[in-house]
Amino acid sequence: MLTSTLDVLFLFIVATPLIGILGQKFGFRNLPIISAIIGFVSSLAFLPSLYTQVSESGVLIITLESSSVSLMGTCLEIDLLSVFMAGIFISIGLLTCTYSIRYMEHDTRLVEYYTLLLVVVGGMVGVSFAGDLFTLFIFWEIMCLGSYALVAFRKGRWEPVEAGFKYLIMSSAGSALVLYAMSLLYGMTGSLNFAYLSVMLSSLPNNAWVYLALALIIVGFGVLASIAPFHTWLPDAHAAAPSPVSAILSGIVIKVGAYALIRCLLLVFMPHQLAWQSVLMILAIFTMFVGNIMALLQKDIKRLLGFSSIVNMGYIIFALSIQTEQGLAGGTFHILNHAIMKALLFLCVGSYTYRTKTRNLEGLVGIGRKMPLTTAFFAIGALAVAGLPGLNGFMSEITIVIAGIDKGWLIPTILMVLNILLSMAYYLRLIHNLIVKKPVKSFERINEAPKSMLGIMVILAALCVVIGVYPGPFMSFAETAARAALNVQSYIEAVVG
Amino acid sequence: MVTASSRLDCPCICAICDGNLLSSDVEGGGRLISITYYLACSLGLLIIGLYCLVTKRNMVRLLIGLEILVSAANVNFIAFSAYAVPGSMHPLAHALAILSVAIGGCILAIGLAVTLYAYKHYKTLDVRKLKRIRW
Repeated sequence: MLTSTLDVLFLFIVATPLIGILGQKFGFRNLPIISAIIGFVSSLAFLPSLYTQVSESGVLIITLESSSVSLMGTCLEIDLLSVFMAGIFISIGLLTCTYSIRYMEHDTRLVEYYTLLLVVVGGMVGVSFAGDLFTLFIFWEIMCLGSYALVAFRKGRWEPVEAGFKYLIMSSAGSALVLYAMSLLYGMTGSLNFAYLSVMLSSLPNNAWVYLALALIIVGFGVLASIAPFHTWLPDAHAAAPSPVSAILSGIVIKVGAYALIRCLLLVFMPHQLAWQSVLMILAIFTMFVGNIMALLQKDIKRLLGFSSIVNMGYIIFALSIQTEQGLAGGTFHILNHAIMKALLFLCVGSYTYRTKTRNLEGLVGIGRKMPLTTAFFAIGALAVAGLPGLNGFMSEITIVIAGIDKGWLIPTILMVLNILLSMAYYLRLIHNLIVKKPVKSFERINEAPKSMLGIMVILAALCVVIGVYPGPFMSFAETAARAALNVQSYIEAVVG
Repeated sequence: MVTASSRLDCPCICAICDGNLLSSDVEGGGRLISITYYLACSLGLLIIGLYCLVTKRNMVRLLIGLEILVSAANVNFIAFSAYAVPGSMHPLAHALAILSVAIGGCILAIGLAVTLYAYKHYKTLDVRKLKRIRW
């Protein structure tokens, strides 16, 4: 009905709680885990066939009622960028779900936990497949509801509750502003479909309402994409959530904000690009500086990683504002790379907290002597985010920098390079603390992380190295995705006819 | 390539753009209230909601502020749907309004649950007391 990938995810969203509750009655505690993993794997298995379908037709259009897209109908419109994003979302979801088996073993309410993981990933895949603002909004809210509940999942402590409330208020206010912008766009054009909106907005005369809608959309999606003045929920929520949930939040949930901005700005507001391009560039630079300066001051390792996520969202937004094919290719490639690196880092920190019960940087000094493998993976991830040549972060960052220079934006690009160097500073400090320094307190009875956790980290760390050494196929996929996003004319022709 | 002119002929759509408000009364069969009032009402609701989010300290009031924000958008959707096609209603906006009311209910439910736990931990509903997390 809604492509087999999404259908399977939603089937398992319904099935997992039923299976889990039945399993609890008969004493099988692991049934929801198995169900969730089967859900992720089978929906990932349907993705290659979707990819071939999309690459044949350019834009795959799926409607419920008729074969063609009507002005006032709703539909899914899947292009290569959607498939690219959906692949990232489901893979990271699968890896964190597998990691959670050991991490969450002492928690109760596991049925809810795994169902919520599926809900969040299902919502994100829906957002990336959406063909109109109506569908996008519905899936967006499904994703947001799941992530609110996951951030505040350990409700017995004060920290997740406080962070969850902040996140809920800020993010819901953002989506309410997006809803208001959607209503204005609907009033101006009578449609919510991206392609029709794009056609009609280009023929409308410029007026204040278009700019109000544009501003509200940038602010509303910018809250989830953690653009600088609206980023304050992110470090709190990332630090307070359980580590696998932090990996999902930082790896993929904030990327959905970037994806929605790419879709809306490049497709709907393309005629008004002069209005948003420089604004977005300035916001991106500001975001990088805020994230970096705050990250330098952190003592809590998860908050530090959260601020680093803000910096990386700054790079992605900067790549979007460059708006050339190379720039956007760098941005989409950085979305992939950052999802891998940040998921790896949060999962490593999850292993530290699983063994030592602390997130404080001072409490973790010298942990590398007790948990050498985890710390090695952490170092790979940290160096990759810091932009060490030979690892994946470097490849996408250098692509964005080159695109910025080609565009002629010398000063913003120099500021971005400065930020990459700044982030090198605190990641090296982190590695120095964890590996080189002698432990202040003795870590007795602390062993290496469990094997299932290490397995997930091995996969992610290997991906970091492989993409860094051999970026060809990943980079070309990101380039085709970026080309699909920038090729507005063929998208409109495929939908409108 | 479709031309947008067929939609743009519609008076109500131009109502936002060039302020041609009265023609919709003629074609739409004697509507008494022009769309400007609805827009003003929804903008008012938007400003009230944002004001509420910025100034209020009670957590429940913050959630009410969120609901006011969502209802501002809903008012807009319903008003525009009535004016989109003269003499009939546009079904898409109604579906969206109903769904957004339902989603608003879900957000309120989660928000109230979190508020309940916050009250258990902090013994207060004052949102300024929720600042134990240090930057």
